[in-house]
Order: sequence, then C-alpha cells, then structure tokens
Amino acid sequence: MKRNALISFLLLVILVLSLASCKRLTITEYSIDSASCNGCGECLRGCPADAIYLGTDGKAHIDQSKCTRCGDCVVLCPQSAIY
Amino acid sequence: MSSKRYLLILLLLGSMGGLLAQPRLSMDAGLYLDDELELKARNRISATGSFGQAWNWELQSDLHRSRGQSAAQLEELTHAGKAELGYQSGLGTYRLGYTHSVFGESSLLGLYPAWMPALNYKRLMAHQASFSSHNAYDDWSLDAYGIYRHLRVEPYSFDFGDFQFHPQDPEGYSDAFGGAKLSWDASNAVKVYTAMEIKAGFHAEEDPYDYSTVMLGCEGLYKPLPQGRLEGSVQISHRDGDAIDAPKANLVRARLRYQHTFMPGLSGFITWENNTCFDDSLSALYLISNYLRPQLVYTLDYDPSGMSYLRLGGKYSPENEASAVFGDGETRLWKGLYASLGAGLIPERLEQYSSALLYRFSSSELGIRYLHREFIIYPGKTDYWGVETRLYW
Repeated sequence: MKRNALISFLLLVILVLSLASCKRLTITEYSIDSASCNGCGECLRGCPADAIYLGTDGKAHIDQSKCTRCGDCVVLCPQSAIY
Repeated sequence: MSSKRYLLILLLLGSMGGLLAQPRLSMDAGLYLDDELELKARNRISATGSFGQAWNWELQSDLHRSRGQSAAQLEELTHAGKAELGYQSGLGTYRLGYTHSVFGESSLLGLYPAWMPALNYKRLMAHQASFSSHNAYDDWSLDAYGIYRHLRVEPYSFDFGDFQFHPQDPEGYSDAFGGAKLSWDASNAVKVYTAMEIKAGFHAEEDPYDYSTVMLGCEGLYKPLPQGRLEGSVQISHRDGDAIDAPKANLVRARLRYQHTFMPGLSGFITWENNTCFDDSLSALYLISNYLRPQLVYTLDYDPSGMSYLRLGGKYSPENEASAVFGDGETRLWKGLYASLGAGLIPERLEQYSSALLYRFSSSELGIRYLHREFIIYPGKTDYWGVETRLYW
C-alpha cells in the first residue's frame, strides 16, 4: 500500500513537472545519467573547462560552477550518458 | 642477520603473499593508425584483490594517446593512475582513494576564470585524494565523502605587443568537495533522505567557484510484474553560490527507470529523467532538460557462451541537443571467432561506426578494428585501423 502510494506520488510529480515546466530556461545545464555512466574518464580528459571529476562512487560528476556548457562531453561519452 | 630476523622477514613476506593472494589482473590495450598515419593508443591495466575478508584494494594504470585535432580531443597524451583501499566490517564500509592524471602535450585552455581570454592554461598534472564511508544502523544509514583535488597548470598570458601567448611559472589550483547523506528506510521499498554537499575552491580569497547544496529526496522500488522492476526518485536541491544562476537556485530532479525481461535473452529498460528549476521567489518553474532513454538487448541463443548479442538504444534530450541513437552487436562466426559492428549518431554533432574481427580464448580476446568518427561540429573526420587485445588473469 505504502509502495503503491509512493509510486503514484512519483508519477504524479513527474507528470506535473513535465506539464508545468513549459517555460524553457535559456541557460543550459548538462546532467549525467549515473545508471549509464561507467566511469571510463573520457569526459574528464576531454572537458576543456576541467569541470568534470570522478566521484567516490566511481562515476563522473559535473562541477556546475566551472562548466562552460560547451557540450563536448555529450559527444565524448561512449555510453551516451550525458544529456 | 640472525636466523630469527630471517624467519620474521619470511613470515612477513609469506603473510603479505597470503594477503595478496589471488589478485585479478586485466589489460585492455589498442594500437590504431589514423588516415594521416598518426598513432592512437590506449592501455589500461587493472588489478584488484583483497586482504582477508575485510580489506580490498584496486590499482589501475590508464594511458591514452590521440591526435589533439579538435576541442573534443584536447590532450595528445594522458596517463591516469588510481589506487584504492577499502575496508568492510560490521560497523560499515570505508574507502580511501588516490588518483592522478598527467597531461602531456596539452592544449591551451581558458580556465580560472573562463571569462578572462588574455590568460590561458596548460594542464600539467592533477592529483585527487578521496575518502568515503557508509554506516548503517537499523533503518538508518549515513554516507559521507570528501575529495581534495589539486590541478597543476602552466599559465600563458597574452601579450598584446606581439599577439602571442607567453608561458609563466607553473602554479596550482585546488578544490575540495565534501558531503553527507542521512537516509531512512521507510519500508523495504521506500527510502527518504536528506543530504548536504559543500564545494570550496582555493583559487582566490572570494572564490567564484564555491557553492553548497542541501537536498531532500525519496527513492522507491516497485515490482509491478515478476519480470519487471520500477525504480523512481524525486530530489529537491537548494544550491547556493556565485556561479549558480538565480533561476537555477532550486533544482527538482525526478527519475523513473523501468527494467523488463520480455523473454529469455531479450531484456531492456527505459529511463526518464526530468530536471526543473525555480528561483528563491518561486516566480516560475523552468525546464532545464528532459531525458528519455529506451534500450534493448537481445542475446542470440545459438552462442552458448552468451557473447553474441544485439543492442539497440537511443536517448531523447532535445533541450540540450543531446539526442542520440546507437546500436551494436556481435556474432560468433566460428568457434572463438567473432564479428562486431557498431554505430552511433548524435544529430549535428557526431557520426561514428566501427567493425571488428575478434578472437576469444579463455575469457581473453585479440582483434582488429576499424573505427570511423566524424565530429560534425568540428572540421574533419578520422578513420582508424588498429589491433586490440583484452587479457584477463
């Protein structure tokens, strides 16, 4: 019962956010799908702003304060995990 | 030296040998020539092992060489090393790590701060030390981590007299990251947590790269079908720092991932992530990005080793122009001989495809590969031909 309630809540939140988030932000922010990242380090080597580091979970993390939003990491990721 | 000392040394060496017994070693290496006969190489050697039941360790050496032909391939030569030591007991798990990266023949980069074009840097070396811990007590768990990163650079200042960059004395910049997360298992399938992360840069007295984040979130797991598994999470973060734009001060990240096994050999998943933000006055909700990723894997049943497969996938993320389609597969031709094909496309950014002939023996492999990569946003395309091997002991 508790699980069903939580799943329903999550679905509702995502649906509301997707519908409500119609105002598009002009400032890009890249994110990493941590389930698909295998920590290979290609994005670290290629980031021209030195804004990506390996976290203690072995996955790549983006330091948003240094990221210049060039998008090179999207191209470099062999797992297509950056969006 | 007395016989007792000899015995003591032998005992120490013997116990070390016993502790380091049965380490697992692997090597992944490739040598390729591109269409201008430039060498591209990679070599990764990994070793993992354990000391008794409580301690484990990992060592890794990773060497890369490629032609620095575009902004997407900055360094021509890099070497990364990693050493990690883990300890597990009834109290929790703890991990210490150190990594370094050496950058050879580095490109000039606009770092620190990125908005000063008259000052560029060559990366020389990066050191990173880290620790992490996980402790659990009944329904509660506490995770903590800390990372200290030091980047050694060679600054180049622009001389408006001769319109050239000139090297200065090397200097270093450090960043420290730290965080803690307190979780409560509300049930077997529901977890609620709160977390905090702090990042401090040591570049200047008032550092533009400092920020802090506080988070509140919940994660859930649900099995609607015996063959299916649904995971979901929602996390609300408040971010505070000069580099965080005001509309992005509060971030809501929602995530759903459903995995399903359709039949023996055919499985897949679909992931949906949504990043939405709002400022402190909650004047409007802004969409940062959506991410939808379906992926299917079919293991071909005529190969009893399970190494023959087809994989198809894609991701749809229009906001950051990060949509892509990709697919690859391998099929056994004869005994240990396999053929491999792969292709990937990121519209208006990258096209790549590869083919390989691989020979597998006792879980290791040798092969030849052709790889075509074309960065559409940068001029030029590259074709690579090479040999590669993966060895496991």
